[in-house]
Amino acid sequence: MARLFHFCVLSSEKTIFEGEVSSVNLPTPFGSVGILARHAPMLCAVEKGLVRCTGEDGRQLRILVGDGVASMAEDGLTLLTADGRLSDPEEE
Amino acid sequence: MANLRKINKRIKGVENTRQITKSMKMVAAAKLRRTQEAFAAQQAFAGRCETLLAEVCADLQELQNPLLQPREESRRVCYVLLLGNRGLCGTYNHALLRYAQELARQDSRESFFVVCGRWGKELLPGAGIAVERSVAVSDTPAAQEAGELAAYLRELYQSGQADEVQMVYQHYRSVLQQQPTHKRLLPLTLAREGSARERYLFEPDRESLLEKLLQLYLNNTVHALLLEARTGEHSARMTAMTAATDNTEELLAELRLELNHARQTAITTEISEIVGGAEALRRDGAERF
Repeated sequence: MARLFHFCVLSSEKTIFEGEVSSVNLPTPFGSVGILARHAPMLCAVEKGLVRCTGEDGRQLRILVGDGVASMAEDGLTLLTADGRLSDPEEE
Repeated sequence: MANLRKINKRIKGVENTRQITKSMKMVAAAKLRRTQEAFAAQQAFAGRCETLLAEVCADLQELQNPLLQPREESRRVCYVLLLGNRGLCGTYNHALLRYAQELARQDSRESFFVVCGRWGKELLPGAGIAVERSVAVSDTPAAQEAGELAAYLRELYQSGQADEVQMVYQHYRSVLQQQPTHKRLLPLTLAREGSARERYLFEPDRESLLEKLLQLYLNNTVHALLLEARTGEHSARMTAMTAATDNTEELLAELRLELNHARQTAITTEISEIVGGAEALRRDGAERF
C-alpha cells in the first residue's frame, strides 16, 4: 500500500482541503510536478490550474487553485494559494 | 387627558426606537460573528506564509526585492484610512479620523490618503484629509477585495507615487475596546530566522518564490487588517446599540411611571368632581325641602 502524507491547501479565506493523501500533482510554471511521501524538502511555485491528488481510500480528488507556493516539509505538503475550491467532476 | 395622550405617544415613539436599536444590535452581532470567523480562518494562512517567508529571506542581503527595500529618502507617504461603512458606532469613526489628522499633522513629509469605507465622505475634505482615492469595502471583506486594494497600493509604491504606505485603523483589542493605531505596510517588514538554503530545494529559484510569497503575504496582510477594522466597527456598533437599547428601557420605565401618575391624577380629579357634584346636588335637594 502506498505511503500516505499530510496535504493541506490554504487560502486567505479558508482551508480548502486537508487530509492524508498518497500522491499529489501540482501545476507549476515548468510543468506538472508529482509529489509522493518522503519527498525531499522543497519550495515550489504553483500556477493557476488543477491539483490532482489521490486520497487515502484511493479516490482521485481535484482542486482548482490560483497562483501560489507549495512547501514540502517533514509535516507534509502545504499549498498556499490566492484562491481555490474543490473541483466538480462535471466541470472537466 | 391631553397629557395622557402625549405620554402615550412618547412611549410609542421610544418603543419604536428600541425596536430599531435592538435590530441593529442583532445585525451587528451577526456581522461581528462572520468577520471574527473570517479573521480566525486567515490566521492559519498568515502563520504559514510568515514562516515560509522568514525561511526564504534568511539571507536577505543577497535578495533584491523592491517591496523589502526601504527608500533612501522617503518624501511622500500614503495613509490608508480604514473607516467604517456607517455611523451609529460610538466614537469609532471620529476617534480614528482625529488620530489620522494628528498623524498627518505630525509627519513632516508630504502625505495623502486612500480611504476605505463609506462613512464621512462629506466630512473628510473639511477635516484636512487629502483623499487620493476612495475604495468601497464590504462589511465582511473578501480576499478578492483585499487583493485589489493590495495591487493598487503596490502600484502606488512601485511607481514612486508613495515612498511609504501606512495603514491607519482601529486595532481590535476586545468587543468593548478598540485602539486607533497605524502600521507600515510598504516597504514590508519581515521577521528573519535561521538559514533555509540547506533545508529546501527551490523550484524554479529563490527570487521567484520570494516574489510569489511576498505577493501572497501582502494580500493576506491587507485582508487581515480589513477584517480587523471591520470586526472593530461591528463590535463598536453592537456596544453602542446595546447601550441605546438599555437607555430606551430606562426611558420607557420612567415614562410608564409618569403615565401612571398622570392617570391616577386624572382619576382622582374625576372622582373629586363626581363627589363635589353629588354633594352640591344633595345640598340643593335639602334646601328645597
